[in-house]
Amino acid sequence: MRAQGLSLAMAVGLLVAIVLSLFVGEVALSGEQYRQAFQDLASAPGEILWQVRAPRALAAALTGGALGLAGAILQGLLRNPLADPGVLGVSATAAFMAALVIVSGLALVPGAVETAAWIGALACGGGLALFTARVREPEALILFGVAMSSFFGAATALVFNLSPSPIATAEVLAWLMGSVEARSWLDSLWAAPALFLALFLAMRAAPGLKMLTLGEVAAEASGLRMGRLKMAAILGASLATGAAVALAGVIGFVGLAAPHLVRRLAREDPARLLIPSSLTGALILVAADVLARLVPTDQELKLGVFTALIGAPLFALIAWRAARSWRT
Amino acid sequence: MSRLSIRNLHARQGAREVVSGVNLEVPPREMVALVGPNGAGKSTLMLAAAGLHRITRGESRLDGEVIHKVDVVQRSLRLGYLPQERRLAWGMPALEVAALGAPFSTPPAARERGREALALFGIEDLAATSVFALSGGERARVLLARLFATQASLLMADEPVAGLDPDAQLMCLERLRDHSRAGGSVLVTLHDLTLAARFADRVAVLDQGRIVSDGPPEDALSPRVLKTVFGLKAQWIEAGDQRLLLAERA
Repeated sequence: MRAQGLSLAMAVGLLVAIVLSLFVGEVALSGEQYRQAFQDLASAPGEILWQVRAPRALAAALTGGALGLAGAILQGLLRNPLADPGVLGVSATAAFMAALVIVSGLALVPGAVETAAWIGALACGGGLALFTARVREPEALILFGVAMSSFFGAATALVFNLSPSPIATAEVLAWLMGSVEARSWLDSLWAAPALFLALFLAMRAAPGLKMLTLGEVAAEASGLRMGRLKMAAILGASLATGAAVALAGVIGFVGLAAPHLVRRLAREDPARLLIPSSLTGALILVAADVLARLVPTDQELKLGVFTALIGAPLFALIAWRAARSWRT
Repeated sequence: MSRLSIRNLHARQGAREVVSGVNLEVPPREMVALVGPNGAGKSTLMLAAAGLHRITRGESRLDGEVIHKVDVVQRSLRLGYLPQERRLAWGMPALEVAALGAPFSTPPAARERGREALALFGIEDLAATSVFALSGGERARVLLARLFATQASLLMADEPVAGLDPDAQLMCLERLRDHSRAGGSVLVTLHDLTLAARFADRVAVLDQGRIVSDGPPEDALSPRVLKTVFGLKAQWIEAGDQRLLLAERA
């Protein structure tokens, strides 16, 4: 399928999912109430539609889009279908910084948690960039990322362990489980510039990611400036992940699954994959948020929990299929 | 002036020096085969000469310019390199992989060059096939097509015929020889001494990081050199209008 056609199909799918998400919620609205919501934005149905459901759908779309983009960038850079921001520790580092801010009571400062998440993601990205400047093998970078992920996972557990207040602990836990519940337009506005910057960097890196399919040495011989490519790719992926964590907390597997779901349609081209993967990530998360709201439970399912429950078996499937391709 | 001029080149793999003071010239209209036992330093020498591996001492010059001072894009337009490693990360169509040889052309022009290069290796009908669905030999030909799509004057190929069937081996070396006959230059590493003797204008024998013999095939691959370097008993025999190398274990 042509790249533009694939992106268009995904965009249409995303739009349908967003429209659907406007019809799903705790309060069932009648046809008359929907009409009222469109006519009078300040009415009660209008408030539900435009101040609760629509910003929530936008937050889900931006978060999923950011994770889908980050996953596609990292998989292209590392030439590995198992790479994603979670595996490389970017999400864990961002979550640790957010947890630290919540527990220290700074969460009341507007934007503090989001900024902390970004700092964490960029710091991890910086660490990965420094590592990759010295070590060429992509497998080594993945192992380094796994180590970062484990370390900051443990550090977050330590934050829990030493947290002075059960309220703060509950807040951190809610953050770690990932959710787009009660997100405002402003929350999305915070994340959007980083996502667009990430998208710009991804587009800059796209031809290099395609060239990397030949391996690093052949790509360098073909005129690829590896240092610049790595910087653009890692910075782009870190910014996107930071935006996602800042907006919705930790949500796993979207970054892993989204590129995989459209890879064949994009003819396995890592450059052609970037936008469709981002749109697929957005579609997955908006759809998952709708489904999570439809599951009849006393407490609403957390989005991160829901995506992990679906994503973990998918991860196993990808690993199995990848192992088969490595044997050829 | 030589297209590639390697002077007193030293290079390491980790702490071990694997290339020690190599001098080698690759002039236009010449195909030079680099042979030597496993671990002799052939691949490292080729990488270092191409500016893709650190040179600890000495230098490599491309058209008279020190290789590390040549802009990487300019270098890629003048020097095409085919690594020994043939693993591809993604199963893109063969045409897309071949077109990667022309990354600075417009996409249609790159595809056209890729298509021509696939045709050169007789696999144009595989253009739309994913490289993951190809046999090892077919994939090797796609990568060779990618090398030729660079249209660089100097082609460097590390073990290009490894794993190919006899017909494909001959085709590959014929194409490389054609490139040198047409005014290009070729540096190729080979394990098959008879193929090196048959196709190369010059053969350089590398042993433990040093060139021990360099010249026309019959001189470079003399029975004495083959005995010393490879432990082989060899002789040159007449076969029609050709002289062929016959080697066996000593």
